[in-house]
Amino acid sequence: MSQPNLTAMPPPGFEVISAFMLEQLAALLGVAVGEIDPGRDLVEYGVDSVDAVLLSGMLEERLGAAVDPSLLLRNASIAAVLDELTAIGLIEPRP
Amino acid sequence: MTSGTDPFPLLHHHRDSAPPYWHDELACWLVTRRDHAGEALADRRLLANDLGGFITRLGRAMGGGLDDVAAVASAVLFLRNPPEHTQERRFLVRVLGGLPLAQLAPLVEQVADELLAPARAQGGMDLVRDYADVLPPMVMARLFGISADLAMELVVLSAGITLLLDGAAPLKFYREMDGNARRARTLLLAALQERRRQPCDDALGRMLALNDAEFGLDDLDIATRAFFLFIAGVETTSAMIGGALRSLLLNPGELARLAHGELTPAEAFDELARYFSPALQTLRQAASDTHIGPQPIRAGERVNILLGAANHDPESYPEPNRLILRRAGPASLTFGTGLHACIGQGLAKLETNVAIARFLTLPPLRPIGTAATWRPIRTQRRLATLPVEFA
Repeated sequence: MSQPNLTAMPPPGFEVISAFMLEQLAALLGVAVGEIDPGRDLVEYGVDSVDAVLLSGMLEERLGAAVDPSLLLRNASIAAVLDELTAIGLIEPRP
Repeated sequence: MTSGTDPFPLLHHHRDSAPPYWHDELACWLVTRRDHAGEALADRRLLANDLGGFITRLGRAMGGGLDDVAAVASAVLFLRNPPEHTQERRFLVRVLGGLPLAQLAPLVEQVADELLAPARAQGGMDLVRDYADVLPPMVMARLFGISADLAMELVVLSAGITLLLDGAAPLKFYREMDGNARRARTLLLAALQERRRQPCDDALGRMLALNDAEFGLDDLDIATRAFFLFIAGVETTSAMIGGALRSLLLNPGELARLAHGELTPAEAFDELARYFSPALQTLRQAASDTHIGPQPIRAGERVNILLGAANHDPESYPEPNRLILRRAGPASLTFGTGLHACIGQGLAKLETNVAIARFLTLPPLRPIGTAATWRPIRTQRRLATLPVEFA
């Protein structure tokens, strides 16, 4: 099992997924991407469990890996979500 | 918190620390004491979790595609609130009220004996997969007047849907469950339409007649309610029967008292329901400010009433982790209380009591190994398997 899997893609980069999440959240909220602060609490944007299921579904499709909605419910901000995605190896660390 | 082997030590910890207890990660109050749980269940300011509304909003945000699972979730009576709840409950109470419970015992006995017959020949069986998980759907099949195959297909379709009660799930799971819900509604709609052509006095036929006389739903709505009734008649009853049998096998002294006729399964029922606690939790949200015991609850806050913890509160049930079939004490909260008290409990008790009585006719049994396996679901405590052999 130590053979490298040559068909496996490297995980997407931090900046790519950061931009993707901000775009998706902006689209959900109907605001411009520039208006979203990744450090601000998602609750302050009115993100609820419906949004959490939708966002985790979009992330799942983008990453090609399972993403439970609880990831978005237990992390306060987009920045915190990205940190957890990095920690579990689904995205490359911040450059 | 996961269910499974033994959730009670953790629940004791929460009960002793600060009742009711605010859980940061779950973002809700946890109610663990028997008295507080009873109070919370009776509080009309604490509304049921509107899963149907949630899935409807989710489907709308996706631009459609969850209509069937939203319809099924909206038919789950204990997740509705007044005023809609009132009429929904009246309809199902009337349907269940038309069931001849007193005459059902021989039918349930017959189904139980059919399921136990192979064990006598083989010297053992799996008491969950081949008995507890099959008896309730076969009883529902006879009540509904549908085939055993259709009932077992509905069981498969409903197993996933029950998981939606656990909380927000991955988006693709809602899509998958939408397919399950569509299939189940289609199958039951076809069964109802057969009864339109050829009227029949089974539960489906009576649902049609009652609806046409007093309620005026369309046939797809009736099919959806029939599916909910089926799920409600199967899921927790199967969990209860499997749990009761395991509880007895692990407490041979108490099992012997039943086997020797010192008391009847009906007399033992509430203690088995308390001890095993197949229904572990129910979620509420405060519509306005209220309180549970001394704890103020603010409007909008969520409250998770941990029925299993309340059933093991030592203030109400001394030595709560011991099975004592002749136990005194308040009624268990397994069927809830208040507005959402289980309307099918008569049938659930009948099936469980008959299941135990017929199980007692087998030669003495012992569990094979100690490794019972559990279903991965939070709101229920439900065995996946319980293999036994003749001792």
